[in-house]
Amino acid sequence: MLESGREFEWIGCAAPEDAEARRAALGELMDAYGKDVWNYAFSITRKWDLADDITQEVFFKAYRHLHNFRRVASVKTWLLTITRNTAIDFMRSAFLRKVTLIDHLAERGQLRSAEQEVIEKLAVNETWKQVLALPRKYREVLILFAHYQLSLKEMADVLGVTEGTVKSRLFHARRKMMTLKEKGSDGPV
Amino acid sequence: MDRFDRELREQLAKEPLVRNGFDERLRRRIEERLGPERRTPRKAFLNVAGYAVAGLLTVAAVWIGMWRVAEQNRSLADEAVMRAADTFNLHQGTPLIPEISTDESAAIRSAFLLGVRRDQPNPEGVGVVSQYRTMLVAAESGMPQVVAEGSGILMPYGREFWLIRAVPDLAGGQRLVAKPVGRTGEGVLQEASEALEMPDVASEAELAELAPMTGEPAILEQLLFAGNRYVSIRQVTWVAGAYAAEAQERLWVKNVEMLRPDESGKSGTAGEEPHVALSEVLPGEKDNSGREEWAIIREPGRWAVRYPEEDERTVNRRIWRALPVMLPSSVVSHDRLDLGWDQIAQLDPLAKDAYTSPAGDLAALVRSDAIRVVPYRLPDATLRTYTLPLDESETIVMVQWALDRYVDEWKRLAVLLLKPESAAS
Repeated sequence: MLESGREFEWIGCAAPEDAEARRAALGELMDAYGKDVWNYAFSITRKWDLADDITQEVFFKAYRHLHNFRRVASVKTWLLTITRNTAIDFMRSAFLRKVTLIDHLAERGQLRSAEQEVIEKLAVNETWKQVLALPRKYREVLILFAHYQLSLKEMADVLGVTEGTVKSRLFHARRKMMTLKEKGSDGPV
Repeated sequence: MDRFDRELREQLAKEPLVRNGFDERLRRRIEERLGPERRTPRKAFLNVAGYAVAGLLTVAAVWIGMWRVAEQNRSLADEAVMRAADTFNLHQGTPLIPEISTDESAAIRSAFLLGVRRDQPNPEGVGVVSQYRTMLVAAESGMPQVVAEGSGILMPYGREFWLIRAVPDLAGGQRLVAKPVGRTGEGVLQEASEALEMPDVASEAELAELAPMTGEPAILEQLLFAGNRYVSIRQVTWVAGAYAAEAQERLWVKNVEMLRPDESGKSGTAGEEPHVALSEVLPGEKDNSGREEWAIIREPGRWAVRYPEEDERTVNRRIWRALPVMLPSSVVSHDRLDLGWDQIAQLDPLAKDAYTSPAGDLAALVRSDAIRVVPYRLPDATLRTYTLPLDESETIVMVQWALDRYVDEWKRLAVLLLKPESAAS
C-alpha cells in the first residue's frame, strides 16, 4: 500500500548535478513504490510485459524530475498519475492499436487472451479476478478506491476527471461487482 | 462505509498477483537505463578494478549480451512498444531544430474550453445523431487538467456563456438549440436551470417550437464549429420513408442567437433558414455574393472556409471547395499556431492537429484518440503533460482560450454550468 509521501520530501532536495544522491533517491522511491507502480500499470493494461515497460518509463521520468518533488502535494498521486498517463500513451501507440482489436474481442469473450490466462492463474483471489475483468474505467476507479485507498479528490486528480465523475464511476463499478458476485455465488462467472 | 465496501477493501488490499511483477530483474533494467554513473554491485566491482575503461566496456558488453539473451522471449510487440516509447520520448534526447525555448520561472497563464462532438448512426433514419461535451482544461497545482466537464457545448459569447444542446424533436430528427446560461460577474442565469439539469432533453416549450408541421421533413443538425459568436452547422433533411439518397444536406453559419429554440425551428426553404452569409463576415472578399451557404471546418492548424459548388459532372452532388482566406477575429478570435510543425512533431510524433494559446504557454496536441496538453515553455513540460482521452468518434468543434484573470472566472463558472456525465452515460 502507498503511504504518505511526507517522508520522501528529502528526495526533492537531491541537487540535479549530484547524480549519486539522485540515484540513491530513486532507489528509495523504487523500494517504496516499485510494486505499487507496477501493480497499477498491470491493472490498467493487464499485460505483464507492458507493465514492465511502463514501470521503467515511470521511474525514468521520476528520476529526471526529482527536483519537482517539493512542488507536489503527494508523492503517491504524483507517481500514480505519471503511471496512468504513461500507460495510456503506451496503449495508444500505433502498434498497440492493432493489438487492441484482439483485446476487444477477448474482452467480449470471443477470444481467450494470454493476459486472461495469466490473470486466471496468478490472481491472488476471486475478487481481484473479477475486478481485473471489468472495463478499464470501472476497474481503475475501484482499484484506486479499494487497493490504494485514495480520497475522492486524489482519485479525480489521478484519473483527470471531476469528483462527480469519480462518484458516478464508483457507483457503476460497485453495481457491476455486486452483479458479478451474485453470479459467482450461483456458479462460475 | 458499508459492508460491501469493507469486504472489497479487505480483498483488494492484497497485491493483485501471487507473483511480484516489480522484481530485481526489472529494477536492474531501470538502473541500466539511467546510464553509466549508477552505484550498483556491478559498479562496486568496477571500483575494485580501478574503473579501467576496458573493464567497463567488457562488463557493459556482457550485460548487453545477457539482456539480449534474456530478452529473446520478448515478443516483437514489446520491441515495437519500446520503439514507440523511444520515439515518443524523442524530446528527452537531442531536440530537433528549432528548439522550444523554456523558462524556469514560467507559469501556466492559459486555460481553454474544449468542445467535442461524438457521432453515431441515427437509429431513426439517415445520417448520424450527435452528442456533445465541453471540458475546461486549466492548471491546478501547476498541472494542466480537466477542471470541469459536462454535456453540451458551453460557448463564451461576450460576457455570457451560451449552452448549445442537441435535442431530439418529435419527427425523429435532432436539432441544435442554444440559450445563455451564465454571465461573468454574475454566475448562473436563473432561467437556465432546466437546460443545465437535463441538457439532452428538450423542454415542452422547446419541443413545441421545434415540432415540424405534418409532412415536413425531419432535420438532423450537426455542429461543425463554435466560437466567439458564430456556429457552423450541417443540416440533413429527409422525409420519413424516403430513400437515404433523397436526403438533402445544407451547411449554414449562424450567429449563436439564431439557435434559440424559437429561431431554430423556423427552418424550411434555404431563404427562410436564419443564417449569416459569407459576405457578412468577409465583406471585402471578391466573389462572395450569393454564398449564403458555407461552412467553417477544421484543417490541421487552422479553421478554414468551404463553400458548395455544384459540378455539372456530378449531378445532384455538391463539391465543397476550399476558399483560401483567413477568417477574421470576429469569427475565430485566435487561430495562429505558436509552434512549427517540426516542433509539434518533436513534442508528440502522433499529433495530427494542434492548438496553442495566445499567451504561447500551452499547446493542445490532437491525436486520433487523445489530446495531449503540453505546457511547452516549462522545463519539465514532459512531466506536466496531461493526456485527455478522446473517443475515435469524437471531433473537436470548439477551442476557446482564457488568459490570466479570466481563467479563475471561467473556472468558477464552468464548474457551475457544466454538469458531470449523467449516471446513465
